[in-house]
Amino acid sequence: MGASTKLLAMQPSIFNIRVPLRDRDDVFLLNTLTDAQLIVSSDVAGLLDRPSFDSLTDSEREAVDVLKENGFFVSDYTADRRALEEYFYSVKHSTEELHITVLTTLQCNFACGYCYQGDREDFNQFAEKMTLETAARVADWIETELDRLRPAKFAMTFFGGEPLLNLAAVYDLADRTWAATQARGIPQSLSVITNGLLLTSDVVDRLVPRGLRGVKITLDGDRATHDRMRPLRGGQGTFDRIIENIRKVADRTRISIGGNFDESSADTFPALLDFLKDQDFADKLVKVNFKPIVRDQPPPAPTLKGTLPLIPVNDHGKPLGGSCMTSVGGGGGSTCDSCSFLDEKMAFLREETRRRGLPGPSGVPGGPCHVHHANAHTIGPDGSIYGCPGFTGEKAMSTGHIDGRLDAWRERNRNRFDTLDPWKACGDCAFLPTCAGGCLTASFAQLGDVNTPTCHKPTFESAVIALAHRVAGTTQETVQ
Amino acid sequence: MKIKVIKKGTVNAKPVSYCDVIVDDIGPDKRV
Repeated sequence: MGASTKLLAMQPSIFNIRVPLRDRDDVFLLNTLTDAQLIVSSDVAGLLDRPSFDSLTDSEREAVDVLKENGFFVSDYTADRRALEEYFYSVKHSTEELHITVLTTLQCNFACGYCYQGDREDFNQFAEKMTLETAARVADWIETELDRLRPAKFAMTFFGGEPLLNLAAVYDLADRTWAATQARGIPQSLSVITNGLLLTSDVVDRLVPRGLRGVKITLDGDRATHDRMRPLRGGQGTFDRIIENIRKVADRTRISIGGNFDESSADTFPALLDFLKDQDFADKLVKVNFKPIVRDQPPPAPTLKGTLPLIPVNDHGKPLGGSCMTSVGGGGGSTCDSCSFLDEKMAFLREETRRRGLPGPSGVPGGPCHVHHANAHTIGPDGSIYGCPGFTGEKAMSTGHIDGRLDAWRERNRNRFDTLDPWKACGDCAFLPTCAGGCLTASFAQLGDVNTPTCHKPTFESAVIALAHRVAGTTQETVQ
Repeated sequence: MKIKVIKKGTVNAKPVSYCDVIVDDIGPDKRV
């Protein structure tokens, strides 16, 4: 009777997600902590609701065993929550990879209206640029970290500003870290997030031998919209030149297309997808992924209608006093129209991307982001260290410096980032293992608090539904 | 009782590749 005793002491995991499949008596089951995915008949799914397990048939017992093996049953609630905390701890302290994001400059040749690094006032004139001396010190700091952690992999992302405006620092860092990693037998991979204007075959060919793994380029809608959203500082359009640059390097490295939409531009993205689908480099694209623009204040130009803030909410889905268009300040109980719009658009664009055979995202987040990784760092042009790239516009948010200086304010920030646990305000949300409280840059921008969750549960839910039917569509005939 | 295992679950199974995360999830859209 040992097995029965064990079965009695268990309950469904709080991380289970169920999606009934259309036109069939099956249910897609996902556990976000174990990442298990099953397609089961509805009677199997019904076992998760069973109040007791003292009279199971043999086939029911076998089914319960499979559900238990995959994490859909747990011993008790406390064990489920403890497993989550252990998972977050293991992610935070993993030494599998050291990942450094380097901002070679905060300068940019674009003047995107939604970016704090845009051509407003005199920002660009005085924006920082990494010197070669600082680049050498950054490389030394990375070498020290490699020796301290002894990671299995080293990854470095060049970001900005526009990172290719400081190619000297890019090349110098790539060369130095390549030598350091080669000497230690650690594989190096590089990636570049660029606006694409200065991306050439020469740049790619120079970095591929240093481990270049891919380049992410941003397109903000169809040609006219992109040229409006992402003009040069002189106001000229950039779309055509970026596309030509992509064409020239697409067979040399992996290309990922990103894009930022707001209420005024979202509906032009299907035309962009049509355009991309017809390009000769379409089959070379490894990811096409569009996201909403995060704002901390209404856009300055009247042509950019409305704001699309990511709204921090509590575990009842109510805003926590953020800058929501329709529920300002109090969580007044109504659905946030702008959030709903945003989530619907993200889901719509995901499906439109896949419908055209382009490699879209699943929409289900892959786990806690870099801000929760102790061994992922962002380094600004002056050597300041940050928790994630989203904070680099605020030097006051720096958590350290590569020269080891101990400023009291940086120490306070470091302690603050070391103890982040925004998910504790999320209750028992089933998406906790993959979301971990959402984008804390958005939380900081809107509430001034990095430890408040930013919730997009509806978009995750629609993504899981789409995933379930995609999986079921490809495996329908094999379900037995 | 029908079960098709699409993906077997394991503790700490999340295939988090830092590089994938940043290439896919960090970009100008995260700037404020």
